[in-house]
Amino acid sequence: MQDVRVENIVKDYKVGDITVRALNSISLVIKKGSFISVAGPSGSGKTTLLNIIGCLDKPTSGEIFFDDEKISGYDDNMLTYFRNQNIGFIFQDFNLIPVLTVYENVEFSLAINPKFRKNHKKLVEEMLDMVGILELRNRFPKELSGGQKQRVAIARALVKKPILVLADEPTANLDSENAKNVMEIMKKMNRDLNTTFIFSTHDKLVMDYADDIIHLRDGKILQKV
Amino acid sequence: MIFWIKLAFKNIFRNKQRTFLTLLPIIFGVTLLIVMFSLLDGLNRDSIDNLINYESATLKIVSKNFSIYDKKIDINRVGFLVPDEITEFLKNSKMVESFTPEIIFTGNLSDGINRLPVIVKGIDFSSFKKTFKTLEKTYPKIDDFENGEILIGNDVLKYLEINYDSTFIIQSRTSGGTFDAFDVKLLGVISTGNPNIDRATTYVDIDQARNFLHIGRKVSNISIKLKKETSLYDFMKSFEKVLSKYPDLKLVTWEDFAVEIKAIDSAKRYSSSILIFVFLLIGGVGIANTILLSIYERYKEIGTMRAMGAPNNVILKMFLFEGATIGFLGSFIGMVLGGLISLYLYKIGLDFSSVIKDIDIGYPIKNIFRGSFDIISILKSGLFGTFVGIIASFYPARRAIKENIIRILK
Repeated sequence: MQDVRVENIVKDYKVGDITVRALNSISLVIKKGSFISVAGPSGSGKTTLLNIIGCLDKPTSGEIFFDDEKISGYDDNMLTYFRNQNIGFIFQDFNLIPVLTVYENVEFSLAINPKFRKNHKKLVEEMLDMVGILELRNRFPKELSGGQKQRVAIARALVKKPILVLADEPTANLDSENAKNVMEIMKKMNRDLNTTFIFSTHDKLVMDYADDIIHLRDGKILQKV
Repeated sequence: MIFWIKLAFKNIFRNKQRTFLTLLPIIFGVTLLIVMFSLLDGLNRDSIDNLINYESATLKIVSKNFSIYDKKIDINRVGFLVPDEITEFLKNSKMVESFTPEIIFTGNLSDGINRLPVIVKGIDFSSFKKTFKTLEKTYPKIDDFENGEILIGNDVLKYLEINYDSTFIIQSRTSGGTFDAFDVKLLGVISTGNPNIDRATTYVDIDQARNFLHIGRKVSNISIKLKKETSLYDFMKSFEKVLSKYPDLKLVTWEDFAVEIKAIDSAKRYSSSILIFVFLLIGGVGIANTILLSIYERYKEIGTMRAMGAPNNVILKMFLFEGATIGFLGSFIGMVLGGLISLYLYKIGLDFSSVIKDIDIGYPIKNIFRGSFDIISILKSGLFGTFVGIIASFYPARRAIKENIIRILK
């Protein structure tokens, strides 16, 4: 079991002299292996919530637990290590390293992870095969379509076998066909690897893939479906 | 490790033109470093060779009144009789290759019209030939040296009117303090490449010098050439017991005569180092600038890596590798260029004779400057350039880990 538990999270930002509350007392529990969508209009706090769950940002107050491990008190180095070991990220702009091939982009995730000293080739090729782009392994990102790039990003996020994958609007830069393909791959990975996925989106079609949808507005949970 | 080296290579060639411009001062700095030190090492080596082969031998027995800094040579002060025990010791020592007496005094060399101040050395032809290389550098080649003959440095010729078989007059003060002169016939000229010899030294037979100065069997010094494998220290130790019986005598080694060469050498090394330091500083600033620009351009990438859990030391390592790679590439090209130039200097050398003429450059060398070719020095210079790259990229690399992840991901 690796449940993610968020308790009374508040996040304030200072904009000049004004304090803006991006998240207001958010509490939720995300079960291991679930496929969760965070939905809401721009400025509702979707990205901030994902950043805090993903240990990229610290809450102003409130606690985050992975099972019973309280990570909200961790310092930057501990959070980096925690992300390294447990969390995968998929970005809206793919954020692939342009000078590395598809294979090397995925391998990068293992190269920075002390758990994976050996067998990079086997793990990377298995993952590329799972997302259906093994034949593109020697191509560079500029030689790929948007959908293919996002598959590389998914492989990169999953190759280290994280307990949680966070995807910030993973289909925003894709056409509907590619968006559908990417969501199906994510869902397949969620099923096959039992990895928890939390993704933010505006897209109704994409939301339909989720087990649960958390609707945010003005930093509060409006509705949990 | 291979992954990071490969990544560093790929990253530095993202902007080839910028990388090339960054490499230039490093290439230039490392090439200059290798060439300068090759030349200085070569000058130092040749200076010491010239000193030992033509002036100091390995060491000399001199009077305790002798000083290497004393420009006025007073035979009454520095002349001494060689004890038989010392002659016997030198003859029997297995460490001694050869030894020779010298009488040195200052005088004027005149062709009847022009008059030049010169150093006159009274030498014993056969032992002098074994101890010094001077007599191998005469024109024409000579097999013997008789009373009434003179050898002169080839630069002295420029100031004199001479023909073959010319006769010169040497004027000097004798040991009695009176001025006297004697005639000598030109036997040949000496061209050693050592300006101290070629510009101002003349050689006459030792007996003629003794007779002229009225000093009996006295000498100015005994020059000793040690066998190649012999250490100076071992010889001095073995000679200590004999020498201690003669408190009026002492030993001076070639190292004592080389003090000035060493001082000039270290001054030139120091000034060259400053120049090279400036070039490598420019190179270092160039690398720092390139890495900093690269970090600004790749903020989002760095953010992604940090979000994925790349620890700070990995991000640091990545940029230090890039700096080191630029430093290494520049150094490598510099090593190849510098190595080739050093090889040329070592094998062929640079002929500066038309530039130097009568200028005193401080080294006992004129005409051809030869460099040294030391592969270890070349490798060290290359390592130094790589080190500059690592140091220069450290500050910008720290920028990459200081920025807020959320900000750089946007």
